[in-house]
Amino acid sequence: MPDSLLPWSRGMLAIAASVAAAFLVSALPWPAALAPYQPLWVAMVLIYWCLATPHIIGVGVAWLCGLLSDVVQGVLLGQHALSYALVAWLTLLLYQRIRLFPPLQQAATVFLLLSLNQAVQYLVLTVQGDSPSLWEYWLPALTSALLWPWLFLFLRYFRRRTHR
Amino acid sequence: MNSLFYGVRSNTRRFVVLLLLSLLAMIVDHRQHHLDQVRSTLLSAAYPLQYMADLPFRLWSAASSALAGRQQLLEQNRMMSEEIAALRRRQFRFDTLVAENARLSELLDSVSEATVPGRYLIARVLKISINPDAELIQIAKGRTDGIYSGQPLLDAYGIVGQVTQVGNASSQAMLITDRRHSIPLRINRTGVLTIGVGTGADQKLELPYLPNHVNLQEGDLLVTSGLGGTFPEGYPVASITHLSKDSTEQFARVTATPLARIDRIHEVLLVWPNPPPVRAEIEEPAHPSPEHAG
Repeated sequence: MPDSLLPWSRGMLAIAASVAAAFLVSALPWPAALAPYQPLWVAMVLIYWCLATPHIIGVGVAWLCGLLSDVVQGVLLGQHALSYALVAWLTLLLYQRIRLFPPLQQAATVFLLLSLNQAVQYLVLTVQGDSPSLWEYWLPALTSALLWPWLFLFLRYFRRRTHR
Repeated sequence: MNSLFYGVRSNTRRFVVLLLLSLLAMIVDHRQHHLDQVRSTLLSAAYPLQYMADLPFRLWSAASSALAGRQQLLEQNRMMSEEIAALRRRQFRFDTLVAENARLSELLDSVSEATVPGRYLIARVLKISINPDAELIQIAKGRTDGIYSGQPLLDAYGIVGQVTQVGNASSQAMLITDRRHSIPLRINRTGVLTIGVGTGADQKLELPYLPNHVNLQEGDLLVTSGLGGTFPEGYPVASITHLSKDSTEQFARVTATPLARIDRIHEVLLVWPNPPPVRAEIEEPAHPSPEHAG
């Protein structure tokens, strides 16, 4: 593990708190009409930390968060685990470049990553014989991307406050 | 620069391992239920977060009840009294039907399960979002309350669904309207057995296995047939809302709307069907039975 200037315990706690908050926010009830527009909070937070602290958060943590998401959402174990691990892996592959993108380009990248996330899950659902038939299935990637610049700023502010 | 490349290689290695692990998990979870314990533990771990997400609504309900003016309380009181009266009427009628059903079953010398549940439990439904792509609810009762996987849920008007995952203090249940759910039904008027499959977000049931010439009309009541052992027999499920018979097709297109207030569930009733549902595990005989010659 490369040397880190960050105080481990506080930084790790901050990351854990933000991931827990993402799970919490994704559990908040939405009116039925708006439900398809729900952003993928946990995935976005994982992408942020892969970009900001790639030596702490990696595919393993993303995989575990995916597993938890699988159970909470009542789907096949491994569905989110696989898609989140894939998104984390790709993010880590290109993190140096994505970090330097201007906000718009970053949001577009997030859109691509999360569309891939949805696509992987679509594949898993299809293999089970349960493919989502509504076009709204793909919306979360879009709404997440639109939300990304603000979430990025917020998490960066949070990170700078908690990682000295 | 070396450390960066190392990072990429180890990440990729890790990813491949996790990819294979995911596939393994999916295969095992799909076919068998060996991973139920894992799910149960993770669900229990997630419960605090779900509880917190539900808390605002609970506090709001509690606060608005506490602050409600006299007029509002009188109005609520009146509405609840009306609902109780309506439910009592239904219950009386339902009891009559159950009794008649039992008598007729006796006459026909067929096996009929006692449809009056012995044990029941009321569970609060958490006001949280679980999966926008599925019809699932989370209830505030778990293994410590005796909840088991596959247990039926009802509300005052009909069958709501069945428990799919049991945690320590909370459980997850699938509604009958979920795309992945099918419930064995009986057309109350004619006795014809069929299956109702959920349609998903529409919150309806589809009956895809009824032949074109079936004796059916809009408004017909569908009740549980009890086949499969999950749901107790004779409970109201849905009523037919749309029927189209095209003579060029083999099956009729039938849609039914659940009687339970699927879109407004606050509390559900969990029942223990009497006798307990038969599990699909077949025990090996202790001794092989003697062979009969000839």
